[in-house]
Amino acid sequence: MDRDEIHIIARHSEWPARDIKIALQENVYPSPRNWQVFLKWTCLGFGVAFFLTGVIFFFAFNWQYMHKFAKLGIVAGAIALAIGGSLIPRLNGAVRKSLLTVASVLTGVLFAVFGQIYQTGANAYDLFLGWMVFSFVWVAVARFPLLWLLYFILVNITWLLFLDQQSHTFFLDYGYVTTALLNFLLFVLVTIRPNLFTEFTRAPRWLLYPLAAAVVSLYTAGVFSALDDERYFQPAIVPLFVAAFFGFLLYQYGMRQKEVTYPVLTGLSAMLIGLALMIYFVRDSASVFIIGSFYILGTLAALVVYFLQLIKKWKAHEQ
Amino acid sequence: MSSNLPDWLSQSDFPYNATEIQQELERKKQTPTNPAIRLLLVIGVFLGSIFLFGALFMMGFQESMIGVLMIGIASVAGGLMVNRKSRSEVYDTIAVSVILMGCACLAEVVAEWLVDTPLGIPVMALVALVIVVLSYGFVLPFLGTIGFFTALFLWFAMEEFPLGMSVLYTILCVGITLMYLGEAEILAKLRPRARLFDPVRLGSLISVIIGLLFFTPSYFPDFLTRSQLPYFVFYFSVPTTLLCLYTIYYLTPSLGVRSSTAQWGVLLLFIVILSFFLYAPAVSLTLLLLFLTFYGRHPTGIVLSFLSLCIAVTYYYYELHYTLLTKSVILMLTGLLFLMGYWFINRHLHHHEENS
Repeated sequence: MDRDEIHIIARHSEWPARDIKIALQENVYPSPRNWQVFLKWTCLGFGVAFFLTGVIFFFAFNWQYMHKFAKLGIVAGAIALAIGGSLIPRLNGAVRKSLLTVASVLTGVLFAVFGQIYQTGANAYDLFLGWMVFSFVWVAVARFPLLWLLYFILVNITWLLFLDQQSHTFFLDYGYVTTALLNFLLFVLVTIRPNLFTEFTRAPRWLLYPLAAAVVSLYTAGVFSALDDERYFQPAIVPLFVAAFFGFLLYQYGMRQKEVTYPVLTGLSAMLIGLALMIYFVRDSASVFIIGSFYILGTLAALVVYFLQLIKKWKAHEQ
Repeated sequence: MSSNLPDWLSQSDFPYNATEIQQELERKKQTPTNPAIRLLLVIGVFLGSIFLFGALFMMGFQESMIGVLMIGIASVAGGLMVNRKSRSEVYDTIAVSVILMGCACLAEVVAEWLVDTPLGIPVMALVALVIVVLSYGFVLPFLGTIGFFTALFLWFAMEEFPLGMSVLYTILCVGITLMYLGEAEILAKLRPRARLFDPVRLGSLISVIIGLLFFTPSYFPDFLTRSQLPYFVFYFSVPTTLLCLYTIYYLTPSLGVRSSTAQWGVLLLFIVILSFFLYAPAVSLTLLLLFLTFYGRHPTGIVLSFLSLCIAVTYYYYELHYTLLTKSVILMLTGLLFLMGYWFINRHLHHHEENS
């Protein structure tokens, strides 16, 4: 019995509150064991996050009287300790992975301290590139999805800073599309080789969904940006092609995995891209609003009906 | 059809309406819910209503406010009727968009006619409340709840009525605590009207977070400095801290802590922890939300509460008036305390597993 069923029965009966509560406690609410596991992971997550933030603040404080080698030595020593700790087999898996997470973050701190001492520019893209390259080993060894998610964010920051600070016109023109491509490649890698990212046979959804959402929102933004210039349509051709291609692949992946989130994401994006194209070609404000309202409501209703049918079909197959 | 009914129900000693239960179970089977589809619906109906509203104005309806008012009333009333009658997603989607467009029309009329009076926003809050009470489904009561509370927050902020803001916020927080801790009692009390429970609960949760971000001193020091009330922050932190402590005390048996000494020990620990955040009610409130949503097994709520807690804690440390060095020591010590907590719980679980 799930929560919805309990609610339905309670709404159409004289089921006493005390018994409803028992039903909820037995079927819905977490057990003491669930609570303890939840608190355990929360403590570990917050513990590592607070400690690392403390370390970062420690080095952000400008230590005038500390010798530069001492500064670098402390961070390098902390990395060595964290890595050393992660090699102790007696420690449990979560602690060892957390230590590798600590080492990965401290690698960035080491580069930042280096930049602070030698004035290389703390925000330059090469700092993040160095961090990305040199923390890769710890990230790969850990096979810890949360650490991979942070690493993907780091990869994106590095790429965006490269676009901003170093890239040529080609990459700048196709900034959205190339970033979508980067995230799509990461998504493909996670789906075809999940064992590189986790100890389990399947990558967790919360690792895949942000990547898919990034791909879809970036290619959609790419199309919107290309259609911004009303004089030319040509710049929109490549983003439109990329949107169709990635959208189709993500949709197919969702259909194969029977996960409606991917078709919903691509459907929403297709609806928005269609709207942008309509606005681009119609141009007259009054017509845009009138046609647009029919278009949105029609498309939305069709998409919702289609997705609900899809879920029903999958559920029927499961049974 | 009767096979849809759970077996235990026929042996139960309380009266029930088998036909209604069967129909609703069947309807639930026919219209499965999914968070991604709900998100698509919310984004879509917003866009749709904006375009509908734009289309009306492009046709020149704004030249007659009476006309806009009539369109607004007709849209809200017609949309609500379709929403109540229809069991089709297509009609429901269109109905929700038309209602939102109607609300935009009414807001336009209110802004035009009641701009010099303090009544404009309460009128819109009332419209939102009517929509919540009369609507069916998820999206409409959900959006109506957010609209209702946001309108009231906006009203108190614009009227610079800080006491009203803290009272409303306290009522909202008490309400949300009751909705999580007293789910069974609410269901038993409201019966058929409890159909609004899920959307109102999520809408209230999001309203609390919206209030936290924009209308309370936690994130909006400007509002605090403008307030003439001394120690205004305590008007928010004291109720949220007390609610948090009550919730923790209430939940300790669910955590497996049953002896009264241990319960008081846990409570004392949290009194010490929460006393550090008396000047930052956002922390105690988001912690309360996290406990409540986890207790209620409400995945969307857990994600929202966790993100809010992270923002609240970050903001708290950012606002501390200490040097970076002192802050770093505080952060590292806090981290070590959490790690000790992890070690303690892990050892307890390990010990428990060995014994069983």
